[in-house]
Amino acid sequence: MADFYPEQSFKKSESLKDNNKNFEIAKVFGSRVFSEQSVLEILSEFLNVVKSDKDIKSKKSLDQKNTDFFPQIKLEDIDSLYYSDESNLKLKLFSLYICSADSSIHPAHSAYYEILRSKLNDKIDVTDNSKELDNNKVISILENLFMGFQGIGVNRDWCGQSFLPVREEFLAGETIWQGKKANDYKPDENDISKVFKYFQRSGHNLYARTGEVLYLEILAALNRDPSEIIDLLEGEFKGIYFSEEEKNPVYIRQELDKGLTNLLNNKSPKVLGDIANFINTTDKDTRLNSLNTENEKANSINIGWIPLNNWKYGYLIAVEMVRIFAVNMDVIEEIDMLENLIVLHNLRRFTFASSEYLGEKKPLIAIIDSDTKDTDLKEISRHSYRYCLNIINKVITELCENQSDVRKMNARYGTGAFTRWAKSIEFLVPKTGDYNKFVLTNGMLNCLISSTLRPNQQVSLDTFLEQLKYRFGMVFDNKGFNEVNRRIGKKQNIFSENTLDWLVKMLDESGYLIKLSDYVSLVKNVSIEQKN
Amino acid sequence: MEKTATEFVKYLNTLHRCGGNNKNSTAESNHNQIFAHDILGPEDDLKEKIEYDLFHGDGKVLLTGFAGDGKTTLAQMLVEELTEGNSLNNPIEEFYIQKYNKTLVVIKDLSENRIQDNDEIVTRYLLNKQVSLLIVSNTGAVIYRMKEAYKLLKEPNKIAIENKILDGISTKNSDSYGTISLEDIKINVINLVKHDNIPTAKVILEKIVMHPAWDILDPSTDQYHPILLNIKALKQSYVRDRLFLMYQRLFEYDNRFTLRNFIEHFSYIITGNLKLEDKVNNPDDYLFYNNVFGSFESFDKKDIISNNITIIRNIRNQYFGTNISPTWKRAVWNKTDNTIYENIFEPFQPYFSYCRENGYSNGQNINRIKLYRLIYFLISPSCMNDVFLNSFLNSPGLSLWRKIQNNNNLTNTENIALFNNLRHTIKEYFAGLKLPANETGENKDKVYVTMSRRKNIRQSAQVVLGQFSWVNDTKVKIDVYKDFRGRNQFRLLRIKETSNKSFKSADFTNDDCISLLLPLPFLDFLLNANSGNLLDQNYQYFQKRLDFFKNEMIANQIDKELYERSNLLLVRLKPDRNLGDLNFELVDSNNNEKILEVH
Repeated sequence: MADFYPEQSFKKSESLKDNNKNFEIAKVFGSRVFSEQSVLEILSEFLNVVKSDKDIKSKKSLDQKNTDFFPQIKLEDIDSLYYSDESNLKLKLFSLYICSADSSIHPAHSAYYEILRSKLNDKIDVTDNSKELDNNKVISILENLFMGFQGIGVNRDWCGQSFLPVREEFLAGETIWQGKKANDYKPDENDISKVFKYFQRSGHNLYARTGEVLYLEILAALNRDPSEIIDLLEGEFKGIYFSEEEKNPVYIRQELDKGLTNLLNNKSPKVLGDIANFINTTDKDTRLNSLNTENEKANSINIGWIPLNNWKYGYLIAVEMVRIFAVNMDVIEEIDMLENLIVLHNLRRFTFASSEYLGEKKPLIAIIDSDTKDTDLKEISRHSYRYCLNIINKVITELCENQSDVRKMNARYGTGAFTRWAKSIEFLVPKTGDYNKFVLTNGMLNCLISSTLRPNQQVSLDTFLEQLKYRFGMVFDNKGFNEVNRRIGKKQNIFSENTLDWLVKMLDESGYLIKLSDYVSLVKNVSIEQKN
Repeated sequence: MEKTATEFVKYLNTLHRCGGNNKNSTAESNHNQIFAHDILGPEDDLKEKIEYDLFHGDGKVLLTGFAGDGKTTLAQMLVEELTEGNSLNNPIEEFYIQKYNKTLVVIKDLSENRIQDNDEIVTRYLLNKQVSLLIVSNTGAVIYRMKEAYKLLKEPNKIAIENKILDGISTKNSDSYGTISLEDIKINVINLVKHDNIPTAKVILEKIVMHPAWDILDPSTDQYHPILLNIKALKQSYVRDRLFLMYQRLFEYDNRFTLRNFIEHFSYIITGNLKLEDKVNNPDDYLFYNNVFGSFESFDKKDIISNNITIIRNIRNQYFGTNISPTWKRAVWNKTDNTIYENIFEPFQPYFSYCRENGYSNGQNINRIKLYRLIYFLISPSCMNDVFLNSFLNSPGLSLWRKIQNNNNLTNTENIALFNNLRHTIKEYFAGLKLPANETGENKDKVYVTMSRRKNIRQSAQVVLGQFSWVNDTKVKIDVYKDFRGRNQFRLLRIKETSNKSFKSADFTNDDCISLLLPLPFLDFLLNANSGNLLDQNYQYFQKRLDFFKNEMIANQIDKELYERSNLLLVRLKPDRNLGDLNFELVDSNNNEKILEVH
């Protein structure tokens, strides 16, 4: 039996493998890593699993209901893991209805939107008339406020959109409005309860499990023995620097718990979440939030599965998250930073796992100045991108039984995902078009600094770059670029002058660089430490 | 060779990069020139410190800094003194020092000295307690060598040893001294990058312009030669002070120059790459106030050769003199008023008249630029004022900053104006809303901190994370502190909500408040932001500083009340153009249901 867990999810997936062309690919990357899922949705899905109550069936102990973010149980001992999630449809309708794609608005939605507003109107009391307010104005202010937290899905209908996860009350699972079916059978229906069944909760189309895979990798990592972490740092991840504390999974679990609690509960006012709940429950007569479809466990999701071996990537991102959580920053900035980190992690999983599967060296990512006119450098960056795609493509080609599926599988579970996510945060540019190159945005630079150095920690620029190479395969200078050339089989050497100048300037302008001499600069995380 | 003006000019022209002969720019060759000893001042304090550390202290000294900072010159002088005339010729040299009855080993330029087993040699000398060791090298090479030898130096790994070295080199003491403390070894560090070399540069310039050679002229020399005019002007101390004010402004903006950079610039300012024998048709192109900025090819096309000079390149990037205050412009171009003309240093008055005559035409004109430069350097101190200096050097906070350098207090009016300016900028940034210029109303003295916004968040009202009283001298004040270079800098102090003290409390300490340090570039940024000018290259960094300050204020609220309190505060711009807040509170109604109360 191969090492894929949780076992029940894996077996179910295996039993359906004839219909599931992704099955073999998932054995390398996890089930499933899907290109259509946006980065914010990956983060939201991950946070959704983290904060949910979990129903764990274990092989060794009694079944347990667990409220921990990361239960203390080895992944290989978990038979099945279900987590609960909410749809928060009333809050979504109230906040996002007016920015929903017109074509998908059903008469029942409009009718219920008015009902919600009217019910809310009954529960608002404006006590100070000196501010020229009335209930309608207050409702509009609230609607505008919550609409401002719209995270993803601008062109979707309101229920398919997600909020920015500024508090746990803003997290909701996937809901898809089956508009075509509803319009076919109930085109003029005004009663929301009659079109209830057209809200689909179990499709995994938007929340496609990439966040679950991330969760499982971290869960698996946090339950390894410290000696395994040390072995990893002396073996496959030699060169990656972890402090003594960071080598201890117990410490990482504690710090992750703290950081995630802060993110979900302490970084924005509690009452903002209370008001979100208030709106969501203002009409108790209509059942919309807890959708009950044909499946009894509609609000309980059976999590996906991962190859156990991928716990090592989980440990890397867990440490990186802990470092980010150590920085005192605003919730919106933190969400931004986590999105960047998740993309980097997903790219890393693709390249590292692929190279391991093929027994080849890890690919390198050549990052260059976005404004460079140097065609050699642009070529190198493009080649490094092509090389990453090639190595992923090789894995998928090898795993696809039917070669006619390779292209499609790549688009959905391989190279397509790599490219889409890298482009979504402008790590790979241009947004559209062919001549791709890796560059750094300021947001990405902040993320690299905070995921490498704790507040006030400093290292030489060389060491900083070395860590980025070990952790993500990133290279920035001639030496690294020539290594890229060797990997792709080119003998050419790059002798471009001052390839690092742009990065030095960027670090300097962001306040991270201290020049010590012509040749040595310090990179220092100047951020302020989060106090708990 | 006789030390004449002609020879001196020839020598100066070998110190800059415009003549194709800058052979004396390195310490090694310059050391042998007869003029070098006249102008290069001994850095006695540094020499004494090194000597003490080598023979009385821990015996191991690292002398480091940028290329051109004067490491080699300093080491040469020290060895010459200690050994009565020896000089440094090889990468590694041993000297017996009779005065102390000890062996001195000098290792120079590790990076250029790639002997295979260098790491071991350096480590061996480091571990040898019997010898005094002076390492003269740039920092990179030292780190590289010591990292490679981390095991011999008994450090657990490369990053650990690197951290210790970096700590020693990047010391934030007010002098340039630090210490690298390894398991068995203590190395005293003198990092010339941290050493304030502007006072030394001042002495060097003074020595150059006051050199007796200027009085020994060939009979054929033109008395009105631009070089001689330049010397005449630079002999005036206020002219040199204005030059150094420009350097200081650059320095505060993180443009640090080595002594080699300064000497190169001085040489070019004086000679303009001319020789005394040269006949010049358009002398004003070679006058020092133009040379400071490099020579012209045309107004918009800068001379490429003088752009090689580091300081000129940096000065050009700052666009000094292109943004003169309207008041001064009016005064300069008013034909009936001769006050400015009369206050220009007399030998340069004809050039003033020429530039003014030819600068009247509309649009940008090269003579206008020259005229403003001439005024900056050559108008008498009695006629110069802060408005001109601030605008010429593109630094609205410069005059206030200079005031505190001389330990003068700001006047009450200056203090209030500065405070109001800063409050306005900070208030707008923290609230995420644009405010009218002269804000009035009940919330004038309140600062709201709202959630950060990304480009895709658009809300007419913002969630307030904290609100803070912002009244001058009660909860907030502008203060002066000494930075690590010992220079006075402004900072803004806000008493923590968790502290019950006031600024006047006897036991008030810095721990009772949160501070926003305001070094000159940041101060200028905040003052500029208030006038709508946010186009600064360091925008990212400054934003980040404000964010840090904001986050710290939020983190220091009483008992994290924000996150637990029962009401939600929103802030919005009201129709009367002032900030207003709205309170949302969930309360229990009569039938045990929640209702949302808004007030």
